[in-house]
Amino acid sequence: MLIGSKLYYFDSLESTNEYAKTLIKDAPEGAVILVDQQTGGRGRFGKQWYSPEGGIWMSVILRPPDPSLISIIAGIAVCRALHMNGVLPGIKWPNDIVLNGKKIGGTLTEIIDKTVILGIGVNLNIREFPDELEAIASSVFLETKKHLEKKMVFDTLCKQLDDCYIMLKQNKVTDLLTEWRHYTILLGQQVVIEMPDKELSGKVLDISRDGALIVMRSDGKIMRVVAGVCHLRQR
Amino acid sequence: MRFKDIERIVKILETSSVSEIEVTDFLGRKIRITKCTNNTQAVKVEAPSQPVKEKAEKTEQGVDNLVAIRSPIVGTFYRSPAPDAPPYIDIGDVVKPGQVVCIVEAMKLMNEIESDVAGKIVKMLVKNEDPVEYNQELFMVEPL
Repeated sequence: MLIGSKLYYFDSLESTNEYAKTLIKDAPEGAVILVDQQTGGRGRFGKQWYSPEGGIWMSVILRPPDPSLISIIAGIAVCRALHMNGVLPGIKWPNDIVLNGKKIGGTLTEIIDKTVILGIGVNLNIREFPDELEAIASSVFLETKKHLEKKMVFDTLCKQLDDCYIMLKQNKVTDLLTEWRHYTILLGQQVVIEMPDKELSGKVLDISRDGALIVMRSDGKIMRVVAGVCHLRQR
Repeated sequence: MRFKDIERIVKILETSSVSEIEVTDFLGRKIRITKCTNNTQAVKVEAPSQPVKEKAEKTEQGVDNLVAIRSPIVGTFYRSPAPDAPPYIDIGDVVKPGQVVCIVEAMKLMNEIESDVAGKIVKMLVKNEDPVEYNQELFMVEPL
């Protein structure tokens, strides 16, 4: 198995993605950095990612020929791993993992010097969140009252990521996207896409082969969305 | 797009006075059919998007001897690695080949874009957080 063939495990690091960057030259493909807690975990664009003990905080070093669907397969692998442990989460484009409408996981993918650093965070057994996150973030434990064994979920996640990565390299994109459609909470839903310069609202129709979200605006025009943050429109 | 769809477009073109038809399907795949003078049709199918590359597109020599650094993907342009961090480069800065000049984000994938050339940044053609297209010029560099 490629993913996890080499494991760097620490009690605590500032950020697994930052540590992975120091290993780019030396670590083999599939190397995983895993920590019990991050003191400076990051989300998109330097946003803080709350990562105390009880969650899965990891980064994977990959060198795919085409990295464009890495975020998509990471979301599928997290969903599979939780599903196999008795919890059925959903995906919000492109790769937020949600349960009961709250975010319980996500990924941050960075491409540096032809190497992909795939950071994955899963709020597994976290008991409480800071006030400012309470409304949007949650954990598997808080939503299901189940305490999942962290090592078991981590092992399943590595195995499933390995399987998805093999499928990607075999160009089984149709199968992967079928699975993404199965897990996503967005198909047929009204959404608002927040972009830096504007907002776009409409109904989600599908995902394209290159991972773009296909959205129909209220005037009937069909748009391909590749960047931005997607929110379900409040009813 | 299926073969019979292409056949239908060819038939429409044959019986009309226009010389070229371009159709984009649901998934963004494009087909352009051009009527040729020798009564044959040239069919060109374009891929929906280009594969993601880590490096900036091959730079091109333009007028004034300036070289463009282009975006290898469709996405959002960011000048710095985080909102409170200083920009990677500014006008007047000298860059080396392989030096990161900006980030273009697509689908939460942060692509560090590198310069292919050594030179001085003389123009910045996009603003922070602007959407950028495939192959769009981002910076102009005066080679040193």
